[in-house]
Amino acid sequence: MRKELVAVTRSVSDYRPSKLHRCLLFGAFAQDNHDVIHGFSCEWEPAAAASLGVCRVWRRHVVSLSYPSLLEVLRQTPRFLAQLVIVASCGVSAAAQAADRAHSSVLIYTDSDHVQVISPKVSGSKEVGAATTHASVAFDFITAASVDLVTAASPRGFSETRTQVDAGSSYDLGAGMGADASYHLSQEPDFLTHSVHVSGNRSLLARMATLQLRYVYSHSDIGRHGDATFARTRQTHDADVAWTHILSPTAAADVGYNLSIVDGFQANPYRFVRLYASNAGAHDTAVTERTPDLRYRHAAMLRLRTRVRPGLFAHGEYRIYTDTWGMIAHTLTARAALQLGSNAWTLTAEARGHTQSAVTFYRQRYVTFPNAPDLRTADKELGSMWTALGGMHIEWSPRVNSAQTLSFSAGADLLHMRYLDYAFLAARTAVLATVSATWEP
Amino acid sequence: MRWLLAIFVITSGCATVQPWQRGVLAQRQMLWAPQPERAAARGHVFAVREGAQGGAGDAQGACGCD
Repeated sequence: MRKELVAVTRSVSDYRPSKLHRCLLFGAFAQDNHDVIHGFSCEWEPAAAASLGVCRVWRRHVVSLSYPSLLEVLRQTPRFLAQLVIVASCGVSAAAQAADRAHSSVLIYTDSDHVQVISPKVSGSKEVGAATTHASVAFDFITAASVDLVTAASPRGFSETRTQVDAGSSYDLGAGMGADASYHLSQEPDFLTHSVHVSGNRSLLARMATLQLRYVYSHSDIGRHGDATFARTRQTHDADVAWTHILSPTAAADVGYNLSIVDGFQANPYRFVRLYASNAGAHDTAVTERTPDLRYRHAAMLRLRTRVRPGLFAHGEYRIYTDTWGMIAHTLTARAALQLGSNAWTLTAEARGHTQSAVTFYRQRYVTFPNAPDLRTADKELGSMWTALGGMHIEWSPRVNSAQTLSFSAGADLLHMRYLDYAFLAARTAVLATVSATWEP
Repeated sequence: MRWLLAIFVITSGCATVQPWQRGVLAQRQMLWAPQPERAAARGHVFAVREGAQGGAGDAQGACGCD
């Protein structure tokens, strides 16, 4: 174990993404029956973009997190992925100092429409009596030059960072009942959202079933970069009810319903809708998006989870969605998980299909010039479309000792999106990659 | 709603699974989202890339093993 992991750190020890960056990694990674020990550090000399690193030198550690240029990431992908594994494990190690469960992950999204997102996240939880306190921090580093910018006022790419912080507690109330309350903050330069989540669950029918209820209230303040006078708000009430029922010693089913009421500004302040005088030719003018302020969204799902045979699990879900803007959507997901070796490895394959109709006011071309329709959008995700996803995920969960579990996982999904009535883009293909580490001492 | 009612009636007739028979149900692989953080991140992608977010809720656990 020790030799293998030391080799990993050495492989990135001479990481030099460019002349402007200097990144040094060194040290060791060892594991015994009581702890996971990391020892390495990272230095860099960032120019415009920073680098990514988490430093922990044995039991004295300093955690720092910044971000490398996406272009450098793409050029250095193999080495960068190796670094991500180390960063994920080190993030877990740092969080595990004070937690009963610690998790660190990095999600990478990149698509054929020139959008890239890297999302590192660290979370942890700790039991204190009957309560479990949990907290997490996550970042989305986004760079984009997508087709959406064609319909924006100033077509050019942008880079942006979103920060999300969550904190809350869950409580075991006894008698098969539990409750959870948490606060979430999401911040972007022009978007700030506060949300409060409360949920509860209760076992019923001699613990053959569980009823789960959840309510989320969110308030968003929306601005527009470069326009200090632009200020909009949005409130969302989100309620879930779900019923889980045990069907047999190897099968369970879930049924759920969700109502979401969205009230406030729901358009994109940067996107403009083109107006045409005829069905052919270039547009004559462009106006800001305008969508209804109120949207009631309903969704219901049915899910089956089963073990087919020892070591092989199969799950399936169907979901139907409709809203007061006229959209109807169907989503089907199938998943199979196979335990390998001494059950320390789990290989999961997934397929997912989604299809949706357009909202009633969506048009590929608004032939209304010189008048602007009262409701208009250039959001292709409000048009008719379908998506297909296929993915693989592997997890390695060696049991450190009888009570401690350390797991590493990696996965990749290929997501294809087909827009059926959008003039500027017919399709887009995205790759979602995740690397994570979880420590449950 | 009719199919929801039908499912409830069908499942209500299931034989009771005793606590000592719930070992499989308690396995992580029986969870819909054994890694909730990964599920949340992917859910965020779907919410942004599709027009029909919400609805799945948190239902995935509850083997009644606690």
